[in-house]
Amino acid sequence: MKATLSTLAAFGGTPALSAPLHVGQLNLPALAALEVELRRLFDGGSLSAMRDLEERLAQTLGVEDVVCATNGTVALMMLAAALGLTGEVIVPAFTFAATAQSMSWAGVEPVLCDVDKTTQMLSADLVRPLITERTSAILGVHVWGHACAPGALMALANARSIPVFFDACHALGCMLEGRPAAQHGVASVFSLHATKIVNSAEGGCIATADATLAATLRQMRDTYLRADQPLACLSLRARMSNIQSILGLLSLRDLPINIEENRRRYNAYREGLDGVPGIALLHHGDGNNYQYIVAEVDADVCGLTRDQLIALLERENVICRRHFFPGLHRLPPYEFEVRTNTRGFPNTEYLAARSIQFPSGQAVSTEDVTRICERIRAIVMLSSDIRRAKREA
Amino acid sequence: MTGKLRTKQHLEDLAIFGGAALVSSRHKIGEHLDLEAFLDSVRGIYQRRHLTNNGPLVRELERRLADRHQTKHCIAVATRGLALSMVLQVRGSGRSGSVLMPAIGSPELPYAARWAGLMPVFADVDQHAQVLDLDDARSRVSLDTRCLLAVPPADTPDWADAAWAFARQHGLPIVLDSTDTLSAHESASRRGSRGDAEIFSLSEASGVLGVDVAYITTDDDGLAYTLSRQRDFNAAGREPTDLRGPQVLGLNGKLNEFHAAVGLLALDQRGIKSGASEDRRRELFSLPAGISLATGSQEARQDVAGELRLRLRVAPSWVLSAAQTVELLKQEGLNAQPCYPLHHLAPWSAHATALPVAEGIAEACFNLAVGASDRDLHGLASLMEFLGARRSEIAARMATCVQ
Repeated sequence: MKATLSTLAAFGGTPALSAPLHVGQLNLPALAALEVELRRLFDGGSLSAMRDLEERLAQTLGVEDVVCATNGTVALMMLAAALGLTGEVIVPAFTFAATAQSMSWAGVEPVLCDVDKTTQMLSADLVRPLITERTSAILGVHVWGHACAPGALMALANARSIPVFFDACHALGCMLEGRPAAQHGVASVFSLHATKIVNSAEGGCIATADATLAATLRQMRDTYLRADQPLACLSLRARMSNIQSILGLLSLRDLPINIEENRRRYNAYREGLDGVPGIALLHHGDGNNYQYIVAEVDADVCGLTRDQLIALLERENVICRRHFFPGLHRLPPYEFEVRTNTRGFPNTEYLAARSIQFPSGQAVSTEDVTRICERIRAIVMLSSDIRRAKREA
Repeated sequence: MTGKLRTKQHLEDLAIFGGAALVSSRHKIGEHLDLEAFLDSVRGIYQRRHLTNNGPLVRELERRLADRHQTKHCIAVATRGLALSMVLQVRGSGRSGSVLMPAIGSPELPYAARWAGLMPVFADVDQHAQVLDLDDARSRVSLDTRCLLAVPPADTPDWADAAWAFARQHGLPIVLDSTDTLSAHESASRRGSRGDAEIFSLSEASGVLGVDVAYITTDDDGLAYTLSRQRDFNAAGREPTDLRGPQVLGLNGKLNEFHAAVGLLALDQRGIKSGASEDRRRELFSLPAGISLATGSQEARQDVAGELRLRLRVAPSWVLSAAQTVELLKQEGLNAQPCYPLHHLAPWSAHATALPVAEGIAEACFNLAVGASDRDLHGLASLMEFLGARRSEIAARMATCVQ
């Protein structure tokens, strides 16, 4: 049946979904399994749940050691402090605020770098001009579980004798440039937030092959340094609880299933949005965890801006998100630094204005995806009518 | 402590010499929480599919705690260290400078200052109450001082007023680390409303579940709003560029729903203790010669989780040092901690000035938290009696072990 304006919820039609469906639907392990493990914990078992989770994560991530922490932001703070960073760290402007905030908490200045318009991430060419004598590290972000040019960034950093580390909060379970995500750089931080593919409610971890770094991180997290200890490093009591660790262990067990389910939803979106003018779904190749369904909205082709599309979809109970909006360079406290230098962020601006994230996760069925895509297609096809109706209104 | 008590008959029965610990981890599990009630909460969390991000249990916990403290606002935070760092960062206005704090307190205090971009400056403590010596603090206030961070005593409510007046006199904000004043059997009146903000922790409520539950109380509407935003990456909803001051640094300080459930159950199950607990302690448990309660009031305090917190002082006649006693008690599975002389912690130790009272306290005192049940107190009394009776032999053997 051909859609008309009255089909759309914004014009009196029935919403595409019966209840609001947000971005970031959770992947929850089975409740019965969680109850069994919690009973074991209260009965005196599972006391080493955090250590068990660290070992299992290390196996899954293909890395020698993993150190768990309260959340991903805290893990980034700890890592920057443990690496002894000073001065400046180069970070992308198109990322979640915590990437830069964690560096500021650790006492280093995040220097924002524009991103490549196609990959949406740092490239060696963009980073190179920003390296100065004050630069102590490069912090790449594997956005959407894609590779943030790890080979090129490491080559650049090696030539300048500074480390590269990665915010891999999107990349648990991903293969990047043919290797597990955690095998790039001196260390990588993963998030175990409730909306991530492995879920411990909150939580994060640092993966590294450097045993000394891992020992320092554990010392920071678990104990307080004393006067007779040689390291002059910040401490932060930031352990993951046994309850969180148990949830994380069960969720990690489900990782292959969740990736497969995510891929099924991603393919449904790909099929459903195929040929919709101005909506370009971000392509995920093999080795991705398919946790993020992201597209770019080209207003010139689609006839509606990204924000107009989001507003119309919200009326349909499809609650989308402007991920990383408006870009770190426009957020306090970093906007001041940007105002006082001459660098521009054209690609970050471009992406922040066009990027849209669609709902995915356990609670989103293939049928939901089909309905969402049909309604997006209808909205785009009716865009000129919508504009006219809005003008007349 | 549950199960069979492991009373000590011989030196070899002490855990430090290879015996079984008085308190095993197994026995601590679930002691503070009703498993079935917790599982009910877990089922609710699953049903709502809302595990974090300011969920309903976090909001309920905040309401309950604000009511309990009779404060306008309560902001739950994932850990005590993050709560301290957040308030110091906001009250320091994001500038460099220093935080004046006592030299005896939780090691989280100076580290929180550093995370907030500020340097700790330590002042000596009062011999009697073992809290910040305001006279010594006065001599250390400088143009660089951004904030006063104090640890109020539980048993001298007027002290916080004096410290607050001191801060106002110097035009400084004051933040109170009130975790150790959180006492279930005393009146909660005004605790939570003092200074710019007070920090509390329910971490002891969790036993070995390893759960941290911290919270900030304040009557300052603006500060509460700023902190609640700061806790969530300083995000301000759909239009993230509005509303925020440029000096506030966001982070992830969110408490998750499982930990909020633990906090709520701790309040339900252990939160309201009768004022008779101290009398009961006195009846069940007296300290042997050579070891005594350290602070002026001679009162042990019962925290919100139902544990007794004691600061103990060893006399020369105890023979064992405070550090040795802590080690012995830790090996028995008890929660014993030295009194940290904060100015001796790395990296500040290199610049430490002499703080004689604090150093004396660190040398002779330690902290002990124990369950408040009759069984817990009997167990502790029995152990302390054994240590007192055999202290010289124990000290000699410990010295041999070190050699």
